[in-house]
Amino acid sequence: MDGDASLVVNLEVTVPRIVLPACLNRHAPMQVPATSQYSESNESEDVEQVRLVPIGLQQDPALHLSDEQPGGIGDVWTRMAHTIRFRVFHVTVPVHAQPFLFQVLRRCNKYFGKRRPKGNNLKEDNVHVEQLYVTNAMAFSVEFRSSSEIVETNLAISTPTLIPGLNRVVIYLDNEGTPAGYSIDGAES
Amino acid sequence: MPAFLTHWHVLIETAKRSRDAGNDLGSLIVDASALRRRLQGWMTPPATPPAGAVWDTGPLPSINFSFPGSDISAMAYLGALAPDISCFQKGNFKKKILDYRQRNPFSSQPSKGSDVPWADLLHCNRSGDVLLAFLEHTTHIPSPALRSQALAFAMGYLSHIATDIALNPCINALAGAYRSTDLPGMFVPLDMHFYVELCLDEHIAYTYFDRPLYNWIHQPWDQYIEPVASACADPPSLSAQVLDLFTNAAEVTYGLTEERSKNFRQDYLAGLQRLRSYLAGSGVFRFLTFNVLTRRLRGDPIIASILEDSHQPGTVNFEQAIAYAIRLSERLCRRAIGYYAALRSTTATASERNQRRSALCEDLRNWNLDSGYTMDITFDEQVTLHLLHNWVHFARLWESESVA
Repeated sequence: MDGDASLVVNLEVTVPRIVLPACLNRHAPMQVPATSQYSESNESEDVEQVRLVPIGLQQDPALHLSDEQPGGIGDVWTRMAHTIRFRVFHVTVPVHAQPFLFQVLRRCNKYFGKRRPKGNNLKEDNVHVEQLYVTNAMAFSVEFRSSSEIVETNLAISTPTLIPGLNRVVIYLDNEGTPAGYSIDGAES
Repeated sequence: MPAFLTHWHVLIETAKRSRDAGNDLGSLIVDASALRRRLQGWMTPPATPPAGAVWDTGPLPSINFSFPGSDISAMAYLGALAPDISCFQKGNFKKKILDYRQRNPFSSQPSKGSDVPWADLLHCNRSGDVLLAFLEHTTHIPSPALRSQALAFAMGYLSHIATDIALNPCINALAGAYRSTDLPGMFVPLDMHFYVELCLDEHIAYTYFDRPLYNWIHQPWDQYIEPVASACADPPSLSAQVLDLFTNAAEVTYGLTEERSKNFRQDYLAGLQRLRSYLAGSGVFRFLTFNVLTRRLRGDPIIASILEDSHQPGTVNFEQAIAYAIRLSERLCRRAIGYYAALRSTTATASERNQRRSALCEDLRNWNLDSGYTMDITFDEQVTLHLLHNWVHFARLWESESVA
């Protein structure tokens, strides 16, 4: 593996399609393919999305979200596993020590009832808005460490500082700059 | 995180399905002799004797699951709530019902003193390693009675992991699809995630426990974790020793200092005290009970979603997700029992133990209990960080037995 190329981290995310029966009319239309092979997705199947946001820049998750991806979404594939459909996203992760918030978003038809007074009665105007909403969020950071840094780190602290809710990924490089191992939250693999 | 009764339902079903597992996992969870003691009116059963501690308690009786558990099963019920217990601590419960963790997936600074959000740690960081450490510590305990209690706690804890990762994706999706103003029964200060959990527990209470989740007077749920919960504060008791084991497992896994370990234990006890009030519907939790019982149920789309049992292609209903959670819980418990048995067996080889450990680790991983994802890294042409969803990792468990 080329040492320079190793400084790029690809993120591969598997997202299940979750359509609850009673919510069918609230979700965008979907079609289930008969095959169980990987297949290319198309726009009409764009019910799930993922995004990476540098921590500190994210908006309130309840707010409408932009399609802009700091990391950039690559290929998106669809696969079936038994009766459940999964989409596989590929995202390039900018590597620096800054943590990211990874979010899974789903599209849903929301009907907002706007209540307005009319005499003694309340009347509702239903406004149909197709909206993305966040269903999952995970915070993580990715960093590379060379073998010399590992020695320094071991001298400085015996155990990594864990931040509850944040997954710290450290990829260790050997003397040639090739990834040789990794740890997640201090657990080496 | 699903609420307490959903966890217990999955645990009970796991025990019922696992009677044949090695040394009789079913009897571990529901100890027949202790149940009989309860039925005869002895509210505080004696410490479980080593001989009848866990296994060899004979065939399971026909149990009325609405009846509070025995001492050994009470420990399993407690284990099934263990990762959530610090959420009940004063100040934390408000965050829980406001979906604080969903909105703020991590605290930007490491907490100090007793401010550590332990539930965040147990749910999001090395969730499987804690259990693995606990199980391995358990095998070194000389007292069979304590080992039995610890093992019951571990089985409950495993079912918690399975229930969380199986059901949270559904709960999160349903909670996100509606706004609180869409729901006639919604009341402040609840947020959507907690409300969905509450509705799911209400459904489980009526369907599987044959009683309502909340009562105006006294709720029976606290009895399910007694007397082990109250005994946790009594240092010589088996319950307190199980808590020590749990604290040690957290200490080793997270590299806690001595002071932090003390905080962990203290916070757990404080959370447990409040959990008992919550389950009994007493104290400040009366307010919650009042609001739940007086809310409007008609036309509630969350309840409709939970009750929906149609099996349309491409859709997932809660019944299917719960069935998946039960199969997953059973699988994890069987793997854990297999590893534990290999560690305890004097005839097991190192290779066999390693094999059982690998099998357990392959399933247990370190799932993020809130999202159902785990991380894995591969080095091929490039470095790839995989966020793997448990639904695809255990895809075969979605098959019902009739199909399989």
